[in-house]
Amino acid sequence: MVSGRELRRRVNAQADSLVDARCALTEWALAVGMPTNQRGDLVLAAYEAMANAAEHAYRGQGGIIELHARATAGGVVVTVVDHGVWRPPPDHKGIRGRGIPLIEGLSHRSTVMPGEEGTTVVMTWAAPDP
Amino acid sequence: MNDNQQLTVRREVTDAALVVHVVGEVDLATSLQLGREFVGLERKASPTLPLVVDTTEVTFLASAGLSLLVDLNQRCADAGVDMLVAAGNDAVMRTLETTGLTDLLTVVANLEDALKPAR
Repeated sequence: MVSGRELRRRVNAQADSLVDARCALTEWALAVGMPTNQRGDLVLAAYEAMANAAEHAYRGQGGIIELHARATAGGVVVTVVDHGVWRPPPDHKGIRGRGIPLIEGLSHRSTVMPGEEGTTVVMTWAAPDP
Repeated sequence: MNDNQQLTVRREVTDAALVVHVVGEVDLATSLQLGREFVGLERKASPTLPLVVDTTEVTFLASAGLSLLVDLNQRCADAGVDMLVAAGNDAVMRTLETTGLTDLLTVVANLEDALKPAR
């Protein structure tokens, strides 16, 4: 793993911009040498965090999502921050609400921190054993 | 960067099933399009002509697409139509397994298995 490398993006909370951010993250994960299977998990989990912000925090009205990824010797940390209004995932899973299970299930560790000024999602992946 | 060609959907009727081939990326940007393609499929299939959703060439599957699969599966169940998902690749299987949808949907490994007769 190439440590010290960072990716920092301000992403418009719109579907098309999320595609660009996903591509940038894919390239970054490749550049820092993340293993293939972790790379897929990272990109999907980060995408779900951003999609959640676009759909629920900003309710499709647009806004800025801050995407930050950092590689260290111990692994990778991805942070997704929005400044919208948190809405808890709906109990009824039929329509939406599978984003959070994906974030939790695909990362090694994750926290979703709603606050008065937005939501911060932190996801980590440990570096594989050498 | 976006050329609006991220997703293509094609329908095919075989002896065994109505097959909907989904090719490309399923995410927020393309889920509306996929939702439109899924409209009424439960009526185009039938109790004797099952619906197969072929995702073997789906390269990215986000939760927006999962909801569409679950909705379609429910509509098929209500109409007495069997629906199978031909997962076909690791990206799709990973998403389905992580969300527990392999228990809810009928998921088979590939398109050949989905088109086997007498299901």
